[in-house]
Amino acid sequence: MIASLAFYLFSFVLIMSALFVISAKNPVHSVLFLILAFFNAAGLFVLLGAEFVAFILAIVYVGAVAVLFLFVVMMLDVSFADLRRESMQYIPLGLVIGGILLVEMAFMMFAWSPSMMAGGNIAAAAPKDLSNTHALGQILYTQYVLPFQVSGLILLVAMIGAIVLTLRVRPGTLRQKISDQVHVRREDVVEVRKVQSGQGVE
Amino acid sequence: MTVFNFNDVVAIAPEVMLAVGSMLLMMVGVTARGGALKPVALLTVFLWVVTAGYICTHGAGETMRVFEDMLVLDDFAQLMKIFIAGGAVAALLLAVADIDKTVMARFEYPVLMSFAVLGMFLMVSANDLLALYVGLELSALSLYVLAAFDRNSTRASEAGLKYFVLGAISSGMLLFGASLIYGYTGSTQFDVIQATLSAGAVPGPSSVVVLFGMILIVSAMAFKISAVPFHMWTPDVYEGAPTSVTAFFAIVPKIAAMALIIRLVTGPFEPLASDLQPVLAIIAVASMLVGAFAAIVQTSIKRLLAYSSIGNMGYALVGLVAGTHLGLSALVMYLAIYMVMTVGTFGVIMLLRRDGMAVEKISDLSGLSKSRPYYAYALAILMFSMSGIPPLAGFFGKYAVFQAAVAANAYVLAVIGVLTSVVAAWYYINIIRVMFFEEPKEGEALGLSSCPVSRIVLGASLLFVLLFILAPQSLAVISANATNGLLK
Repeated sequence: MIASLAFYLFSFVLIMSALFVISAKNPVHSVLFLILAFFNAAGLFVLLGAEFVAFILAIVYVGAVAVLFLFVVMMLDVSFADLRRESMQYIPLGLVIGGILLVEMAFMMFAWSPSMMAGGNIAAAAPKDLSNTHALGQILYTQYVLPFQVSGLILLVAMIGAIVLTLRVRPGTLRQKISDQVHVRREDVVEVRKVQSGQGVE
Repeated sequence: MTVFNFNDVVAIAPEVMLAVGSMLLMMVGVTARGGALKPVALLTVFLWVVTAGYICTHGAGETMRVFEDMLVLDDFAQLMKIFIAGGAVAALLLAVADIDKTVMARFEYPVLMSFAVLGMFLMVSANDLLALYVGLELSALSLYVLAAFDRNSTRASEAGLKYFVLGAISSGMLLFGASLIYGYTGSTQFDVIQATLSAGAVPGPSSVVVLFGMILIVSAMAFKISAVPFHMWTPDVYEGAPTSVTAFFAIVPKIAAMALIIRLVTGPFEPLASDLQPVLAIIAVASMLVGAFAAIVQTSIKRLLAYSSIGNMGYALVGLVAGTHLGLSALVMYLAIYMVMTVGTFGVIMLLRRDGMAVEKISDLSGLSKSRPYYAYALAILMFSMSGIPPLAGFFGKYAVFQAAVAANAYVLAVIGVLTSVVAAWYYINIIRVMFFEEPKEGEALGLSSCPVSRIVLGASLLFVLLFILAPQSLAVISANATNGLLK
């Protein structure tokens, strides 16, 4: 009873906040609604017994991705209202394509049934005596080590790409060079002079 | 509980070499002072050659499945990896001349290419939807960055962004399709999917879901080989991206994506081949038609080559539609020949310079036979080969594919293929007409890039095209051996 109540609550808020994400006038509000949507999706995962995914969603998506979005949206000097006005002309076409997809997906949802063999093929959910995190940890670095490592390479490529496309060397910028600072000798920078009283240093 | 198996790592030594090597090269690039591009590029070529050499000397022998059946190592994967490494070497050697003095002269260029090659290696060995996806994304992400590499050019940035957005949509289709397949079969592993799909006759309505998933995955792959109707990005990206990157795009990723399609159609989707055949046939016919007719009106060489590559992928797909062993081996042979011809064509284009830049317009070539006769003859040979005129290599590729189609009773495909080849020959030969029978444009003649390596690559490609007739059987035998294990 409580579980289904929680399910409907999370789902309702999730769908409503998703709607607000695309309809809010102010982009900052959109991002905030996106964060709300993430939280509710995390709630749904908890209901499914996937607490690890739920926390990852909260930590990574809310904590890092959405905050990054927020920064980008605040920094960009783009009039989102104008953008939206321009994209309005594509709405009829978008609605048609979206409608076709919706009908197809609804059809599939009613037609779908898993194969007789699917039950045997499907990997067991977390073993009963193990927590989610523990069970994931057991397979992530053994059975799934290859996709795990390749995902790491994908992130590396993303980082290289971001640097390649944005980093510019500007002439005239002052940089701290630690080795220069360490290699400075006393004679180069300190000069000791005897100063006669009343005359000052030239 | 599964335990990490070190033998698996040894088995994928080429991939490990590429991954570690690329990261080392990045360190070389960061620590080298000034002008790190040349050494890093040459070291990258060296890395690829060593990797390809390792693959050649450590033949697959029997088929191996490693990493919990995520990857499959067989003759087909080996041959495709050698093709990919070879194409990448040629593309990078051509590129070195082009990128030397522009904003693109940065060492990340070969490093990103190397990561793309690694992703493609994983694609051709993929035996699991998960491995397929990560390999595909690794290569795609590197390619997006490469397309926008000339960041000061608006056209390159536009090309990169367009490629990225459309590529993301195709990834979405792939994932949606994969989730449907997983939902029905309960597994992401190719062998298990195949067994599940072939075991129970798929019950009525559920088959629609499986078909839907399969077609979504095939569509995403068709995007990668730029087959019609998923070709929209190709002309714009080819035109906008720097020429050296376009050459890489035209040569290498097509092989990996086509290998993956072959793997999917002969592996997990083999039980549903009869449903998939008409889809592939439509894609093949549409690609041949668009490739032939849309190219006629182009004035930019790069756009023309984009449509030419669309058409060529259509011809290659004919081999797959035939669905026989003959067809698959013809496809592999076609890919190899296409790759070499493309290397040569881009070699000529990138060697010829107008105001220090690679030539862009077809009219730039007018009167080339007078100003640069050798290059005019070289390009003429390549264009004749592309249009499939015997005794050049291109003829044998087309002949093998159409022969396989006729043997499989796909007469309509073969007839359309021959007819579109005739149309395509018109625009290939039009380039020859411009070079030999039009007066040179006013102003100075086309300059030449002073890169000896590019000339060697061009010469090698020309030799292959000209001398292929002496031993056409050898490539056919190699292709047949590689595709032997695919069909049961």
